[in-house]
Amino acid sequence: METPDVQTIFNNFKIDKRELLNMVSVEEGDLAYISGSIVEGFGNPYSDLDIFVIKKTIENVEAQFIKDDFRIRIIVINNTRFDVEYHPMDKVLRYVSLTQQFNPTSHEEMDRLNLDIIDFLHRLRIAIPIYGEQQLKSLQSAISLENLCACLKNWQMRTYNSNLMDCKGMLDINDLDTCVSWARQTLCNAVDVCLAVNLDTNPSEKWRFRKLERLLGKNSSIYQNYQTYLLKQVPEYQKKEYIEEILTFASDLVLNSQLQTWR
Amino acid sequence: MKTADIMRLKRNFEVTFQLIDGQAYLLKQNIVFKLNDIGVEYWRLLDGKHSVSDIVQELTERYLLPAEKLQSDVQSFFNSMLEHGMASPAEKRSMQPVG
Repeated sequence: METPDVQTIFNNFKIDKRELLNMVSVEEGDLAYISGSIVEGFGNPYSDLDIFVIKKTIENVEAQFIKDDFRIRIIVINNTRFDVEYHPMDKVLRYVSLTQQFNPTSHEEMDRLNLDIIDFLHRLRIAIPIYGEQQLKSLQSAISLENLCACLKNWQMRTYNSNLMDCKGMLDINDLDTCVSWARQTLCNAVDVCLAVNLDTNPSEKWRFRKLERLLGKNSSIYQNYQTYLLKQVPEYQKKEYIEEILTFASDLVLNSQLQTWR
Repeated sequence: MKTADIMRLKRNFEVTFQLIDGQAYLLKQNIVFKLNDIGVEYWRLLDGKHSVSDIVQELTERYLLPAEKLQSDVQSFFNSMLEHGMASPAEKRSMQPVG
């Protein structure tokens, strides 16, 4: 699960770097990078390549999708479609600065550094430059990893707590099938807390097994239990007990993950 | 040794331990407990395997605290956790996870 180098990625997609830079209209002072699951080492044959261009202003960028603060242009190279995201530099700097100023006790700041922004910053943090290498390095080193993960952990804890309460309610009214599926979801949230505490900034649910494997290995008891609890067939008479087991395991995981960094 | 000394408690799954800016809390619906450093240790050791006596023994050695003071402190913690439904007497479980 190694991060491939940029040339290997371009070869796999049959991309010529100069042609790409020309097609995405990169100019002096811009920053362009690739990111996403392929760059992170989680790619598969159907994964797409995320291409980002950061410009001083995006007002003049011709694009198919125009949102408030970003644009998406679709380009086709050798019959392969690429979605290129354009973002203004002042927004990116503001996002980076949010991580530097983040106060973990403030709910207001947590709402400002939301999961979409965390996802954007994660992609920026792992990005490989294709234009403006030094600029990218400066931005990457300016991201406060500790605060980014503290904020992500708070988001994951919020979801965990909310889902846990739902499970309790489902148990109380004996809605066991719903509760089994929701207890599994709550365990997933506990794993997300564990990952964030261990400085994994990727908020995507898609790669939970891969991220856990990268962090602890497939043979770790946490990985093994997570897999067992998630995939196990549960007979009707064991459902209540199973729900309590899975939630106890999730609760212990949340406790022990946080205690790693305590004092 | 009294029965209370050998009682083992297990954390209830609906209680969330949460560290916020270095401060530890226990959250259960509308109940919030603020834990000090030794309280975090008590909570960690409510794993269904440690009795009051075991906890006193472990922490007396580690923190060099007087056993009598610790004994009454841990007992109060146990009582408080039971009273607020934060923990329950440990039972044997049949679906043991790995590890």
